[in-house]
Amino acid sequence: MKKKIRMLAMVIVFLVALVILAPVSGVVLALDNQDVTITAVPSYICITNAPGDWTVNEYDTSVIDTSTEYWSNPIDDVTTPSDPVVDGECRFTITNTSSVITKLTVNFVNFTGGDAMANSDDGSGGVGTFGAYSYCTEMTYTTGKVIAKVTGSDPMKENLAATTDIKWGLSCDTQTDVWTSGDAMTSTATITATAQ
Amino acid sequence: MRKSVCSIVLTLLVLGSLGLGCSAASGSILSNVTPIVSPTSILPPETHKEPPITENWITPVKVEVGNFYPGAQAEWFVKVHNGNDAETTFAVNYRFPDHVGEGYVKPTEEVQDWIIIADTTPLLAPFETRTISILLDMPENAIAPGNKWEFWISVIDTSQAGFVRTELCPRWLITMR
Repeated sequence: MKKKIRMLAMVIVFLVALVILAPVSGVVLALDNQDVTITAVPSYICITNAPGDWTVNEYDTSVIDTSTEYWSNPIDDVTTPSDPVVDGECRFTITNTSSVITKLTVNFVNFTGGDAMANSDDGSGGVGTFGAYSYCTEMTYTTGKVIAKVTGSDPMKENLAATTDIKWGLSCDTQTDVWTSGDAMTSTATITATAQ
Repeated sequence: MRKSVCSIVLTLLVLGSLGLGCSAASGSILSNVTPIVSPTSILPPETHKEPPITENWITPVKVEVGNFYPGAQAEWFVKVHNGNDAETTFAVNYRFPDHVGEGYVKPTEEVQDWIIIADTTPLLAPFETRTISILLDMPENAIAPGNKWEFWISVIDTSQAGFVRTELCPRWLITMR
Protein backbone atom coordinates (compact mmCIF):
# COMPACT_ATOMS: atom_id res chain seq x y z
CA MET A 1 0.00 0.00 0.00
CA LYS A 2 2.81 2.34 0.94
CA LYS A 3 4.57 1.45 -2.27
CA LYS A 4 1.47 2.30 -4.27
CA ILE A 5 1.12 5.65 -2.57
CA ARG A 6 4.75 6.38 -3.25
CA MET A 7 4.37 5.50 -6.93
CA LEU A 8 1.28 7.62 -7.16
CA ALA A 9 3.12 10.54 -5.54
CA MET A 10 5.96 10.28 -8.02
CA VAL A 11 3.56 10.29 -10.93
CA ILE A 12 1.77 13.33 -9.56
CA VAL A 13 5.05 15.16 -9.05
CA PHE A 14 6.14 14.31 -12.55
CA LEU A 15 2.89 15.56 -14.07
CA VAL A 16 2.95 18.76 -12.05
CA ALA A 17 6.55 19.39 -13.10
CA LEU A 18 5.53 19.05 -16.71
CA VAL A 19 2.73 21.56 -16.29
CA ILE A 20 4.91 24.10 -14.48
CA LEU A 21 8.10 23.85 -16.50
CA ALA A 22 6.84 23.24 -20.04
CA PRO A 23 5.53 26.77 -20.72
CA VAL A 24 8.70 28.32 -19.21
CA SER A 25 10.98 26.30 -21.42
CA GLY A 26 8.69 27.17 -24.31
CA VAL A 27 9.15 30.86 -23.54
CA VAL A 28 12.91 30.42 -23.31
CA LEU A 29 12.93 28.62 -26.62
CA ALA A 30 10.74 31.29 -28.15
CA LEU A 31 13.11 34.00 -26.87
CA ASP A 32 16.04 32.29 -28.56
CA ASN A 33 14.16 32.59 -31.84
CA GLN A 34 12.94 36.15 -31.32
CA ASP A 35 16.21 38.08 -31.93
CA VAL A 36 15.87 41.19 -34.03
CA THR A 37 17.36 40.55 -37.44
CA ILE A 38 18.82 43.07 -39.84
CA THR A 39 19.59 42.36 -43.45
CA ALA A 40 21.00 45.07 -45.69
CA VAL A 41 21.20 45.07 -49.47
CA PRO A 42 24.69 46.47 -50.20
CA SER A 43 23.95 47.71 -53.70
CA TYR A 44 24.16 51.44 -54.35
CA ILE A 45 22.01 54.19 -55.81
CA CYS A 46 23.66 56.85 -57.91
CA ILE A 47 21.82 59.38 -60.11
CA THR A 48 22.66 62.82 -61.39
CA ASN A 49 20.35 65.28 -63.13
CA ALA A 50 21.07 67.97 -65.69
CA PRO A 51 20.36 70.73 -66.20
CA GLY A 52 19.36 71.87 -62.73
CA ASP A 53 17.41 74.92 -63.86
CA TRP A 54 14.11 75.64 -65.61
CA THR A 55 12.62 79.02 -66.35
CA VAL A 56 8.97 78.59 -67.16
CA ASN A 57 8.22 79.72 -70.72
CA GLU A 58 11.93 80.32 -71.30
CA TYR A 59 11.71 79.06 -74.84
CA ASP A 60 9.31 81.92 -75.67
CA THR A 61 9.33 85.17 -73.76
CA SER A 62 9.71 84.08 -70.13
CA VAL A 63 6.59 86.13 -69.43
CA ILE A 64 4.18 83.88 -67.58
CA ASP A 65 0.44 84.15 -68.17
CA THR A 66 -2.21 83.04 -65.73
CA SER A 67 -4.43 80.04 -66.51
CA THR A 68 -1.77 78.65 -68.81
CA GLU A 69 0.01 75.31 -68.80
CA TYR A 70 3.70 75.31 -69.60
CA TRP A 71 6.01 72.36 -70.20
CA SER A 72 9.74 71.98 -69.85
CA ASN A 73 9.62 70.99 -73.50
CA PRO A 74 12.61 72.19 -75.53
CA ILE A 75 10.48 72.03 -78.66
CA ASP A 76 7.87 74.46 -77.37
CA ASP A 77 6.88 75.56 -73.86
CA VAL A 78 3.18 75.44 -74.62
CA THR A 79 3.06 72.24 -76.61
CA THR A 80 1.83 69.07 -74.98
CA PRO A 81 4.29 66.19 -75.22
CA SER A 82 3.44 63.36 -77.60
CA ASP A 83 2.06 59.92 -76.96
CA PRO A 84 4.51 58.34 -76.34
CA VAL A 85 6.86 61.04 -75.10
CA VAL A 86 10.09 61.42 -77.06
CA ASP A 87 13.51 62.50 -75.85
CA GLY A 88 13.29 65.85 -77.60
CA GLU A 89 10.30 66.84 -75.46
CA CYS A 90 12.18 66.36 -72.20
CA ARG A 91 14.42 69.05 -70.81
CA PHE A 92 16.07 67.02 -68.05
CA THR A 93 18.35 63.98 -68.21
CA ILE A 94 18.92 61.53 -65.42
CA THR A 95 22.28 59.83 -65.68
CA ASN A 96 21.82 56.62 -63.75
CA THR A 97 24.81 54.57 -62.62
CA SER A 98 22.95 52.74 -59.84
CA SER A 99 23.69 49.03 -59.42
CA VAL A 100 20.03 48.20 -58.79
CA ILE A 101 16.65 48.72 -60.39
CA THR A 102 15.30 52.03 -59.16
CA LYS A 103 12.12 54.03 -58.85
CA LEU A 104 12.03 57.79 -59.50
CA THR A 105 9.60 60.19 -57.85
CA VAL A 106 9.26 63.93 -58.41
CA ASN A 107 7.94 66.37 -55.81
CA PHE A 108 7.38 70.08 -56.56
CA VAL A 109 7.11 72.46 -53.61
CA ASN A 110 5.20 75.73 -53.36
CA PHE A 111 6.63 78.83 -54.98
CA THR A 112 8.02 81.63 -52.83
CA GLY A 113 8.30 85.27 -53.72
CA GLY A 114 6.06 87.16 -56.10
CA ASP A 115 2.51 85.72 -56.10
CA ALA A 116 3.84 82.60 -54.30
CA MET A 117 1.61 80.04 -55.98
CA ALA A 118 0.92 77.01 -53.83
CA ASN A 119 0.87 73.53 -55.33
CA SER A 120 -2.76 72.36 -55.65
CA ASP A 121 -1.54 68.74 -55.52
CA ASP A 122 -4.22 67.87 -58.09
CA GLY A 123 -2.43 68.83 -61.29
CA SER A 124 -4.59 71.87 -62.05
CA GLY A 125 -4.15 75.56 -61.39
CA GLY A 126 -6.72 77.43 -59.32
CA VAL A 127 -6.98 80.62 -57.29
CA GLY A 128 -3.52 81.16 -55.90
CA THR A 129 -2.48 77.63 -56.88
CA PHE A 130 -0.61 75.86 -59.62
CA GLY A 131 -0.81 72.31 -60.86
CA ALA A 132 2.17 70.22 -61.93
CA TYR A 133 2.88 66.93 -63.66
CA SER A 134 6.06 64.97 -64.25
CA TYR A 135 6.59 62.86 -67.35
CA CYS A 136 9.38 60.88 -68.95
CA THR A 137 10.48 59.36 -72.22
CA GLU A 138 8.35 56.56 -73.65
CA MET A 139 5.48 57.39 -71.34
CA THR A 140 2.00 57.69 -72.81
CA TYR A 141 1.65 61.29 -71.73
CA THR A 142 -2.12 61.67 -71.68
CA THR A 143 -2.68 58.70 -69.37
CA GLY A 144 0.71 58.23 -67.78
CA LYS A 145 1.70 61.68 -66.58
CA VAL A 146 2.07 61.83 -62.81
CA ILE A 147 0.90 64.63 -60.55
CA ALA A 148 3.94 66.28 -59.02
CA LYS A 149 2.79 67.10 -55.50
CA VAL A 150 4.50 68.93 -52.68
CA THR A 151 5.18 65.54 -51.08
CA GLY A 152 4.01 61.99 -51.59
CA SER A 153 3.89 61.97 -55.37
CA ASP A 154 3.41 58.65 -57.10
CA PRO A 155 6.45 57.32 -58.93
CA MET A 156 7.16 58.91 -62.29
CA LYS A 157 9.25 55.96 -63.37
CA GLU A 158 9.33 52.44 -62.02
CA ASN A 159 11.70 49.60 -62.75
CA LEU A 160 14.41 51.79 -64.20
CA ALA A 161 17.12 49.29 -65.00
CA ALA A 162 20.55 49.70 -63.47
CA THR A 163 22.90 52.00 -65.42
CA THR A 164 20.03 53.13 -67.66
CA ASP A 165 19.56 56.87 -68.26
CA ILE A 166 16.22 58.53 -68.78
CA LYS A 167 14.94 61.93 -69.93
CA TRP A 168 12.07 63.61 -68.16
CA GLY A 169 10.12 66.84 -67.87
CA LEU A 170 7.66 68.88 -65.85
CA SER A 171 4.53 70.88 -66.55
CA CYS A 172 3.22 73.84 -64.62
CA ASP A 173 -0.41 75.04 -64.92
CA THR A 174 -0.47 78.56 -63.51
CA GLN A 175 -3.03 80.10 -61.20
CA THR A 176 -6.36 81.29 -62.56
CA ASP A 177 -6.49 84.64 -60.80
CA VAL A 178 -4.57 87.67 -62.06
CA TRP A 179 -1.08 88.40 -60.88
CA THR A 180 -0.83 90.96 -58.13
CA SER A 181 2.93 91.07 -57.92
CA GLY A 182 5.37 91.77 -60.68
CA ASP A 183 8.13 89.91 -58.88
CA ALA A 184 9.57 86.54 -59.80
CA MET A 185 8.62 83.34 -57.97
CA THR A 186 10.97 80.46 -57.29
CA SER A 187 10.44 76.85 -56.36
CA THR A 188 12.28 73.56 -56.18
CA ALA A 189 11.58 70.18 -57.69
CA THR A 190 13.21 67.15 -56.10
CA ILE A 191 13.70 63.91 -57.98
CA THR A 192 14.11 61.04 -55.53
CA ALA A 193 15.66 57.68 -56.31
CA THR A 194 14.92 54.58 -54.26
CA ALA A 195 15.51 50.91 -54.86
CA GLN A 196 12.58 49.23 -56.56
CA MET B 1 1.67 8.23 4.79
CA ARG B 2 2.30 11.59 6.38
CA LYS B 3 5.89 11.47 5.23
CA SER B 4 4.76 10.79 1.65
CA VAL B 5 2.32 13.68 1.71
CA CYS B 6 4.98 15.99 3.14
CA SER B 7 7.49 14.98 0.49
CA ILE B 8 4.91 15.57 -2.23
CA VAL B 9 4.11 19.02 -0.86
CA LEU B 10 7.78 19.90 -0.50
CA THR B 11 8.54 18.75 -4.00
CA LEU B 12 5.65 20.77 -5.38
CA LEU B 13 6.83 23.82 -3.47
CA VAL B 14 10.38 23.46 -4.80
CA LEU B 15 9.20 22.94 -8.36
CA GLY B 16 6.79 25.84 -8.06
CA SER B 17 9.58 28.12 -6.86
CA LEU B 18 11.77 27.01 -9.74
CA GLY B 19 8.99 27.70 -12.18
CA LEU B 20 8.30 31.15 -10.77
CA GLY B 21 12.01 31.89 -10.73
CA CYS B 22 12.30 30.93 -14.36
CA SER B 23 9.29 33.08 -15.25
CA ALA B 24 10.80 36.03 -13.43
CA ALA B 25 14.11 35.44 -15.12
CA SER B 26 12.44 35.15 -18.48
CA GLY B 27 10.52 38.34 -17.73
CA SER B 28 13.81 40.20 -17.12
CA ILE B 29 15.39 38.59 -20.15
CA LEU B 30 12.43 39.81 -22.19
CA SER B 31 12.91 43.36 -21.09
CA ASN B 32 16.70 43.42 -21.13
CA VAL B 33 17.45 41.32 -24.14
CA THR B 34 19.92 42.83 -26.51
CA PRO B 35 18.81 42.24 -30.06
CA ILE B 36 21.35 40.14 -31.86
CA VAL B 37 22.04 41.47 -35.29
CA SER B 38 22.27 39.01 -38.10
CA PRO B 39 25.21 39.52 -40.45
CA THR B 40 24.66 41.57 -43.58
CA SER B 41 23.80 39.59 -46.62
CA ILE B 42 26.53 40.00 -49.19
CA LEU B 43 25.86 39.92 -52.88
CA PRO B 44 27.79 37.29 -54.86
CA PRO B 45 30.92 38.79 -56.46
CA GLU B 46 29.58 38.60 -60.01
CA THR B 47 26.72 40.98 -59.20
CA HIS B 48 28.75 43.48 -57.19
CA LYS B 49 29.97 46.52 -59.10
CA GLU B 50 32.25 49.22 -57.83
CA PRO B 51 30.43 52.55 -57.54
CA PRO B 52 31.80 55.62 -59.37
CA ILE B 53 34.21 57.91 -57.56
CA THR B 54 33.14 61.12 -59.29
CA GLU B 55 29.43 60.86 -58.50
CA ASN B 56 27.41 60.95 -55.30
CA TRP B 57 26.00 57.60 -54.21
CA ILE B 58 24.62 55.85 -51.16
CA THR B 59 24.57 52.29 -49.88
CA PRO B 60 22.85 50.12 -48.71
CA VAL B 61 19.70 50.62 -50.75
CA LYS B 62 17.47 48.66 -48.39
CA VAL B 63 17.66 47.70 -44.73
CA GLU B 64 15.24 44.98 -43.66
CA VAL B 65 14.57 44.68 -39.94
CA GLY B 66 12.79 41.54 -38.79
CA ASN B 67 11.37 40.25 -35.48
CA PHE B 68 11.14 43.80 -34.24
CA TYR B 69 9.13 44.77 -31.17
CA PRO B 70 8.45 47.72 -28.84
CA GLY B 71 11.51 48.31 -26.67
CA ALA B 72 13.91 46.91 -29.25
CA GLN B 73 16.65 48.67 -31.15
CA ALA B 74 18.02 48.16 -34.61
CA GLU B 75 21.18 49.92 -35.66
CA TRP B 76 22.66 50.02 -39.11
CA PHE B 77 24.28 52.67 -41.29
CA VAL B 78 24.16 54.59 -44.53
CA LYS B 79 27.36 55.12 -46.48
CA VAL B 80 27.42 58.46 -48.29
CA HIS B 81 29.94 59.14 -51.02
CA ASN B 82 30.83 62.67 -52.07
CA GLY B 83 31.49 62.58 -55.80
CA ASN B 84 32.42 66.27 -55.90
CA ASP B 85 36.00 67.47 -56.12
CA ALA B 86 35.26 69.93 -53.33
CA GLU B 87 34.26 69.72 -49.68
CA THR B 88 30.50 69.16 -49.57
CA THR B 89 27.88 69.12 -46.86
CA PHE B 90 25.13 66.53 -47.12
CA ALA B 91 21.76 66.57 -45.37
CA VAL B 92 20.91 63.18 -43.88
CA ASN B 93 17.43 63.00 -42.37
CA TYR B 94 14.46 60.82 -41.60
CA ARG B 95 12.10 60.84 -44.60
CA PHE B 96 8.43 60.03 -44.75
CA PRO B 97 8.13 57.75 -47.79
CA ASP B 98 6.29 58.86 -50.91
CA HIS B 99 5.24 55.27 -51.47
CA VAL B 100 5.87 51.93 -49.79
CA GLY B 101 6.39 48.33 -50.80
CA GLU B 102 3.54 45.90 -51.23
CA GLY B 103 2.23 44.79 -47.87
CA TYR B 104 3.88 47.67 -46.02
CA VAL B 105 2.27 50.76 -44.54
CA LYS B 106 3.57 54.28 -44.13
CA PRO B 107 4.89 55.31 -40.73
CA THR B 108 2.90 57.20 -38.10
CA GLU B 109 4.00 60.65 -37.03
CA GLU B 110 5.81 59.50 -33.90
CA VAL B 111 8.15 57.22 -35.86
CA GLN B 112 10.37 60.17 -36.69
CA ASP B 113 11.19 60.41 -32.99
CA TRP B 114 12.40 56.81 -32.98
CA ILE B 115 15.10 57.46 -35.57
CA ILE B 116 18.46 58.73 -34.40
CA ILE B 117 20.98 59.73 -37.05
CA ALA B 118 24.54 60.10 -35.84
CA ASP B 119 25.32 63.08 -38.08
CA THR B 120 22.59 64.90 -40.02
CA THR B 121 24.91 67.41 -41.72
CA PRO B 122 28.15 65.58 -42.49
CA LEU B 123 30.82 67.59 -44.23
CA LEU B 124 32.66 65.29 -46.61
CA ALA B 125 36.04 65.87 -48.15
CA PRO B 126 36.39 65.53 -51.94
CA PHE B 127 35.61 61.95 -52.98
CA GLU B 128 35.24 60.86 -49.35
CA THR B 129 32.92 58.00 -48.33
CA ARG B 130 31.47 58.40 -44.85
CA THR B 131 29.60 55.83 -42.78
CA ILE B 132 26.77 57.34 -40.75
CA SER B 133 25.02 55.32 -38.07
CA ILE B 134 21.23 55.09 -38.11
CA LEU B 135 19.49 53.84 -34.95
CA LEU B 136 15.86 52.75 -34.83
CA ASP B 137 14.88 52.84 -31.16
CA MET B 138 11.22 52.01 -30.61
CA PRO B 139 9.92 52.89 -27.14
CA GLU B 140 8.58 50.05 -25.06
CA ASN B 141 5.13 51.58 -24.86
CA ALA B 142 4.93 52.57 -28.50
CA ILE B 143 2.50 51.17 -31.01
CA ALA B 144 3.86 50.06 -34.36
CA PRO B 145 2.30 51.67 -37.46
CA GLY B 146 1.48 48.17 -38.65
CA ASN B 147 2.84 44.66 -38.77
CA LYS B 148 5.03 45.73 -41.70
CA TRP B 149 5.97 49.34 -42.16
CA GLU B 150 8.54 51.41 -43.97
CA PHE B 151 10.45 54.65 -43.71
CA TRP B 152 13.24 56.25 -45.70
CA ILE B 153 16.46 58.07 -44.95
CA SER B 154 16.97 61.16 -47.12
CA VAL B 155 20.47 62.00 -48.38
CA ILE B 156 20.84 65.31 -50.24
CA ASP B 157 23.92 67.07 -51.51
CA THR B 158 23.29 70.59 -50.20
CA SER B 159 25.63 72.15 -52.74
CA GLN B 160 23.02 71.59 -55.46
CA ALA B 161 21.77 74.90 -56.82
CA GLY B 162 18.94 75.64 -59.17
CA PHE B 163 15.41 74.38 -59.64
CA VAL B 164 15.95 70.61 -59.67
CA ARG B 165 17.84 68.69 -57.02
CA THR B 166 18.40 64.96 -56.59
CA GLU B 167 17.74 62.97 -53.45
CA LEU B 168 18.93 59.44 -52.71
CA CYS B 169 17.00 57.39 -50.17
CA PRO B 170 17.73 53.99 -48.61
CA ARG B 171 14.52 52.24 -47.62
CA TRP B 172 14.07 50.72 -44.15
CA LEU B 173 11.49 47.93 -44.10
CA ILE B 174 10.37 46.84 -40.67
CA THR B 175 8.57 43.59 -39.85
CA MET B 176 7.20 43.26 -36.33
CA ARG B 177 7.32 39.91 -34.58
